Amino acid sequence: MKKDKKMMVLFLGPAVLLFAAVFAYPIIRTILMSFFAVERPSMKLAEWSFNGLENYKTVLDSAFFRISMMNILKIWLIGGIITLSIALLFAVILTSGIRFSKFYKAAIYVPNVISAVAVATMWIFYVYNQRYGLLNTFFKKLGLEELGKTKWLGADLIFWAMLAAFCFCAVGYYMLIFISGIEKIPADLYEAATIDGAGKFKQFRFVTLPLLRGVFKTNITFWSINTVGFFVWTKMFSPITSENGTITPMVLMYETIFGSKRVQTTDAGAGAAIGCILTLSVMVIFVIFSKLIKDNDLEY
Amino acid sequence: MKAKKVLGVLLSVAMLATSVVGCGKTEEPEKKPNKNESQSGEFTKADDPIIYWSMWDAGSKTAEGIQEAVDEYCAASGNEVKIEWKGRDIQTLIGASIDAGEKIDIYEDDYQRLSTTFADYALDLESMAQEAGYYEKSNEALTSAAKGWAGSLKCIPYQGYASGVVYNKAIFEKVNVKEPKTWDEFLDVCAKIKKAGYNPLTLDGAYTTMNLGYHLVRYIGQDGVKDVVDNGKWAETPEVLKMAQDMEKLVKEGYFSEYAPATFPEGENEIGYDETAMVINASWVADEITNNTGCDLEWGMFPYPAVEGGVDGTEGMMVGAQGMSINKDSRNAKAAFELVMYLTTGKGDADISKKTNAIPADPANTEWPEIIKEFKPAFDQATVGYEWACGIENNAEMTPVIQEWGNKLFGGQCTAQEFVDGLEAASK
Repeated sequence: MKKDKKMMVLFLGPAVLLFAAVFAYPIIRTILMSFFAVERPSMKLAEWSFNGLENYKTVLDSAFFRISMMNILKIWLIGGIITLSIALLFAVILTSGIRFSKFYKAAIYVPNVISAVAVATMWIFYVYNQRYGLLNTFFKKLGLEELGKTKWLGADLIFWAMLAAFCFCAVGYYMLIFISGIEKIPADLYEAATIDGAGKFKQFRFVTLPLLRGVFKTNITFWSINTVGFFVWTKMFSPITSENGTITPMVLMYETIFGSKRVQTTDAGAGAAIGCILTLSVMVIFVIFSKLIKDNDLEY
Repeated sequence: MKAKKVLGVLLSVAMLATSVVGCGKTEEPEKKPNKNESQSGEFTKADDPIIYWSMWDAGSKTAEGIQEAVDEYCAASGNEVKIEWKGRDIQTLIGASIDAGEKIDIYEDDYQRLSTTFADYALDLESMAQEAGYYEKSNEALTSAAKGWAGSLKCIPYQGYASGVVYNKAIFEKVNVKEPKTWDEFLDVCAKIKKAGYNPLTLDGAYTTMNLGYHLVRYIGQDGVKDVVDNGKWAETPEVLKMAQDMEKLVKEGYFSEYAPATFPEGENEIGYDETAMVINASWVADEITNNTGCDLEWGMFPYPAVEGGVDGTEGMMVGAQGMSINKDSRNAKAAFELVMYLTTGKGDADISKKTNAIPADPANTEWPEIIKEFKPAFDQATVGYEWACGIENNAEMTPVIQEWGNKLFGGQCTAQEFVDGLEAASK
């Protein structure tokens, strides 16, 4: 078939131009900005002054940044293990032919449909509230007075409280992806395994899990992207001033670039450096997981 | 075939033309000099509409108050004003929008940020203020602070706030106690209120640093507080331990509500539910609690008590405000300034203040809204102005750490000494 170069240009041109304007230009500008002293992101290039690695040094020297990176690492790792494990468990249960599986699927997915702001408000005021929240009322009813007085949103527990609420919200989404992966596995594989004497657990261990490798990779990729953009939950759990237990790099980047109650000055250069470090971290994670988890080598 | 090609070309041209028109700016007037404005009677006539970017959300009480005052201004001046309600995220928009050449005449934000972060975007209002006799119609503490940050007058403060100990007057009357002036008197008041079955104090975690700052500033003054937080002199400054011990005592004596530090605004709402008597906060809190809880209380406020051997007494008060700036590129600067004056002085200011239960910006408006009218004596006696949290948030790096340790201290999860040691270690 003869290639029509004009048609190619005509069809691809707008997409390429849009990609360059909307993605490539901001990426390049941000990378450049991270090496310059720039107060505001909208400052003209002529007003920038070269700063070498100073922005990166400032950011890496900041204890608050290190805390924010540690927080996001914990959210990614611990939250990831919890969320993906529960999501997988639910997916396996819901594909095992139980009754009302459609209802359960919808119910577990519902938090994804509701705005994160509304869900966070619900957790803060109706679950963690010390006076009338679900947890404290529950413990008081059980006669566990001390546990019933727990300050779930106090300095020691606020991170874990926020993480639990975030994971609760996320499970449904990953569960659906696992379900779609499990449903693709041919039923005859399970029949063969049953004939060979494999029980449900062995079927899960030796059939389902190996065939979900690609789905795991997809879920880990989505989870990484979602956690890196962790912003709303921090803003909801510490609405006026970000604190050690809730700060994440994305919020810190926003506060560094635009200022906040805590930071009266703005530093777009340092903010860009935070963005670049964050992107680099995600890329490293992707590369590691691409090496660790191979795609399915089995065709079915 | 040829006809099809012609049709294709025509359609392409039509699409391109539509796109260009669609992407173009609407009603963008030609850049004109200030001569556009002409003096007509009391107001300067602006040929272009005055574009006003507000920090309030559409539909909020403040937005309604401003809109009404602006409507009156428009009727009186014959000028057109276009208000865009940008909400609190305006701070992320101002710089980029002005840099991009957006036509904005007036914009609002926190008056400190307008005088620091956004000072370069603002017109110097000094000469117009002098000409309008603005300094006779403004609060000196606020204008001098704004000028101090920016080097000249870059914004007009309004919606000011006073701060101190806000309380439910009914409980004070029931317990038969008067407003305390010293820390010992304050402890005595707390003891009596507790005995009467109320929590003397409440606290929201969002205001932990402010509570710490207010006590420390009494001991060592604002410069001293900034020195401690900027240079990590937590252990070297004995007053820090004293301050922490005073707070520890409040906690141990059970003077704080058992839920403190609570999740904002649950702590302050306890006053509305008639469970707690006092909160260390600012003048807006009375209106906030009334809206949150539907209570109908008579509110009082007294200055934060003086401590023994302290540098500052009750004359020091954390004050602040929102502000209005005029874009340095504004083509309607004079008319815009007159609108700002209309909103922040005289009748316009009085109306907005009444509508929003806020302190009037113009000292000549001596009648404060009912809900905060008892706060006036405390505000009037203040001669020393403190910044937000009395300077304890001066070091952005340390603020979250101070907040974390403060929450532990107020929550009874650490001792005063552990508080000091924790901050000392974090600052190294």
